Amino acid sequence: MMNFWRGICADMRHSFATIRSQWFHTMISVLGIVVSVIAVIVMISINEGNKLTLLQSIRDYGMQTIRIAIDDTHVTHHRRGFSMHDIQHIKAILSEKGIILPLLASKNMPYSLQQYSAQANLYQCSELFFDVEQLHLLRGRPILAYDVENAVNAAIISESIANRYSVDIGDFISIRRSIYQIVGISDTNAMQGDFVILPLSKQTLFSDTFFYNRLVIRVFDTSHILELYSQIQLYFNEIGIPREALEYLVPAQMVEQEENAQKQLNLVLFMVALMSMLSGGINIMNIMLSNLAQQTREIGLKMALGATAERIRRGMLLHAVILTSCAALLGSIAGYGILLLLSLHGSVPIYFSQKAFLIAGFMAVFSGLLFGLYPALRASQIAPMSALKEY
Amino acid sequence: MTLTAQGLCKSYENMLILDHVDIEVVPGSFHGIIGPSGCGKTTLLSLLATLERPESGTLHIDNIDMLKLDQYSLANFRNAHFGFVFQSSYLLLHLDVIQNIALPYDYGVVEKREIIFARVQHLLASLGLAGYDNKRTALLSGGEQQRVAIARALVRNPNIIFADEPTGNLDADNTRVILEYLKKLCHDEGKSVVMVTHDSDAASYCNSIKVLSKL
Repeated sequence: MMNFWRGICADMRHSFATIRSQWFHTMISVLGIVVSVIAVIVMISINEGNKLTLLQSIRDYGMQTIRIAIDDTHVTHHRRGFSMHDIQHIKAILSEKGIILPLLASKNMPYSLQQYSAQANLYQCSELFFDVEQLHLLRGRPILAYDVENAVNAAIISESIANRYSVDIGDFISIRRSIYQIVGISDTNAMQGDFVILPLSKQTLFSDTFFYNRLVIRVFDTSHILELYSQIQLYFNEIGIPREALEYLVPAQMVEQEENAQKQLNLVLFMVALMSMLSGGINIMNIMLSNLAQQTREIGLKMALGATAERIRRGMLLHAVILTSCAALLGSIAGYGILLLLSLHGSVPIYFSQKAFLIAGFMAVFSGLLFGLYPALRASQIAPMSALKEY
Repeated sequence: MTLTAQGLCKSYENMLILDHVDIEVVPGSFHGIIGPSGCGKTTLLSLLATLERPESGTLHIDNIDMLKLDQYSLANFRNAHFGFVFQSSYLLLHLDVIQNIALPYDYGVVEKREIIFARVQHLLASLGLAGYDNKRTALLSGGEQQRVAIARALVRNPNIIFADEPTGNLDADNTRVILEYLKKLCHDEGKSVVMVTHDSDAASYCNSIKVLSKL
């Protein structure tokens, strides 16, 4: 065993001495692998960055929610939105598995705040809004049951509006000629952009003639989401609302789809990386074979001095692995630098993944082993005396 | 260590090179193998040094039947008991002098670094190369390179040294230095030298000569 490790150390010493004496030649020979390692690292890091950004934006909608919106183009005289009857039916489907929040959402609703006028998304809803949406109040209080029961003119505005116009709790906002007092300021979470939340009055909430255009359903256990989602779809199908009239947003399903898409993308990336490594590896093999012609005398000498065929084979393989390891190191440093530059630029989402460096390094070393094998076998079959006679 | 070869035959591409050659190398002998070009001098040397296998015949070193040993055992035997000097020095140019001389230790049993270093220093001094330890071999003259090659051949303290025209590329002065050193090794240290040469002056240093003729 001692001899084995001593041999490995000696072979490594020879390998490094060869690299040192032919550093330029070595650099050229490993350039393919260096470029491949950079490509793999950058590809995986950008892919991971994109994936995480996308998944985060999906998760921001709330993984336990099902959102249903009726398409405005399908609103008719007969079907103006979701009725109280629909809501009661969905409540029955949900049973104890979740809660439903009906909403009346209006896009780009004009409002006045102090001397300013602007537009925001308006959500009119019950006190369940904050529970279902899991929004966080930065200041003030949420919509309360009291506001709903007493038709209080209270409003909650998004942080973006509060910051832009320097307004705070106690200020007033005017919407549709009604004045509402700001009682809370909310973070934005998945609700992108400016928004205002108003309580619906109790009379409106339970009116048979009132229609909502949004439903938000919070399911307590994520494992029930897809099952409930299909039951709700079935219900709307049965009552004759065409599939294209409804927009469903089910983050859990989107994540699943996204993860499946990522698996396919990862496979494509893996194949690209593999091809890249193959071409780098073939380059290494080619150069090792051409070096073999020059090293024949050296190999013959080593065999005469007592090196076995196995030792020659191992030495050549080790040299290939050292070459590709050096390439992996150089490629990793360069790849890290490129990622840093890209992340400073900020336009590309980057995730500095250890996985990327490990995969690239492993592939580089593996290609060294794979493509060093044939030159190593050839070297070990050299007859010492004929090798020495050749020169 | 006595080397005895009997009835060695070798052919290349159906052309007989050696036909039933016998040779005995006893300790302390300086053996010369001479003959015209193409008569199989180097082939005989490589058979005796176990670098090639004969088609027939026997090869014993003391009581060991060398032809029955596997490649691994032969490699170890060569490392422990044989030294090689070739017409060209065959030094590894990416290694310095001391690394070249210590090269056989990379393929043999583990030895302490201090022992290796002391042995290399002793050989460098005895070959007139003291202070050359870390010199790049590419910067040495032909004579110096050949002396480094001799040091490499002797570093494991071998019993038999195989030399294939060791002075073929050297001038008269360096030839004399090398041959006298080899002769001294036989006389003083009881080592055996088997030298291939076509130079009659070099052959005059030998105390036993095997003449080969072209078949």
